[in-house]
Amino acid sequence: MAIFKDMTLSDVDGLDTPAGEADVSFEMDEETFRAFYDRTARPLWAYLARMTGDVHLADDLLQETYYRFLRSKATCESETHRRAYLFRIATNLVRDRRRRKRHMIVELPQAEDSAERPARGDVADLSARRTDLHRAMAKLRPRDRALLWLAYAQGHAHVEIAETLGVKPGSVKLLLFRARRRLAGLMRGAQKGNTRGMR
Amino acid sequence: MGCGECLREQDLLDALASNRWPARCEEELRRHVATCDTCADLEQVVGPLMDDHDHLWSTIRVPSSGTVWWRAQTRARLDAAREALRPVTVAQAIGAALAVLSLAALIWMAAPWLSGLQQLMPDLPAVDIQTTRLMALAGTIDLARWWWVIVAAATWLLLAPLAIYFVLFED
Repeated sequence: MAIFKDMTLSDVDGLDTPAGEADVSFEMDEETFRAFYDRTARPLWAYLARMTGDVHLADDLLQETYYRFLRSKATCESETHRRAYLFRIATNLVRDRRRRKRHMIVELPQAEDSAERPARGDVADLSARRTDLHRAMAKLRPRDRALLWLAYAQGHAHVEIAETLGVKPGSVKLLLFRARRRLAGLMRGAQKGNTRGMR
Repeated sequence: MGCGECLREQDLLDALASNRWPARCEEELRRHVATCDTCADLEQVVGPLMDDHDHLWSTIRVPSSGTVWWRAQTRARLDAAREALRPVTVAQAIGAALAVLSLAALIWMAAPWLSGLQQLMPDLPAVDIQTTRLMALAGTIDLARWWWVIVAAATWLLLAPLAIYFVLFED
């Protein structure tokens, strides 16, 4: 009995690929990659978008992150380890980008956030709260921003955060506490400013 | 308990994650958060972060896995081709540097012979006077005294093409 499987893009690509230009071998096969990508692409994009403050840059870095991940020879024991490794590549790419382009604007509200929408009540409150958050996050150090996002927005475990950011697992709790304190202070300041502005 | 830790943190996180905070959670937890700095910070930060995440999540548009795989394959092929050419380029650079070195050495070795030749045949029109002077000058270089200049020049000639290569081909 013949077993059929869905043709993947690279299968189609391979049909007219001349000899010697066949698929470049990655550590991961395509089907495993597709499953892994489907599980991680959206959280990774969100992370990149919040770390860079630029959705277009997040698009570029997403592709670059997966490319470097596929090219790496690292062996990952578990899904968690693999995901942490992927996020670590992304973190390094964002860091490199920041070093290369010191004047990069970080975490400004994106177009859809900054657009004045005719919002009322809760929607307006939420929108204002998001804007306050973006502004406060922009004032944080990149590592603090990453810590808070990974821990509270994406719910990563402390061990995974440590692996992603290259810090000791035991110090994540303290670093997180300090980052949280800074962000809370900045947000309270912003809220006081908003209240004064409304008077 | 460590610095700034509170036993009720997890309760608050659970309430925030399950949208029970503040209206549908226990009165006791609300009272605690009002008096605990650590939990107050947590409440101040985590709610907006979760909300921002949910909002962002609804706007995410990522390319399909097939597209990302195909692009990675294409780029890997290009990178592989470039890497295959790298030794050739390095060899070319080293070859060019060696050629320049050999030429310089040849001129230096031939200088006494050429000046002697001109003395034997003063009417020899083929040898340019400037070139002859330059060769004579090269012949007077005291190798024992200036060896470090020659070594430095040779090293520079060898390393400069490599350095230029790595700078230009970096990413």
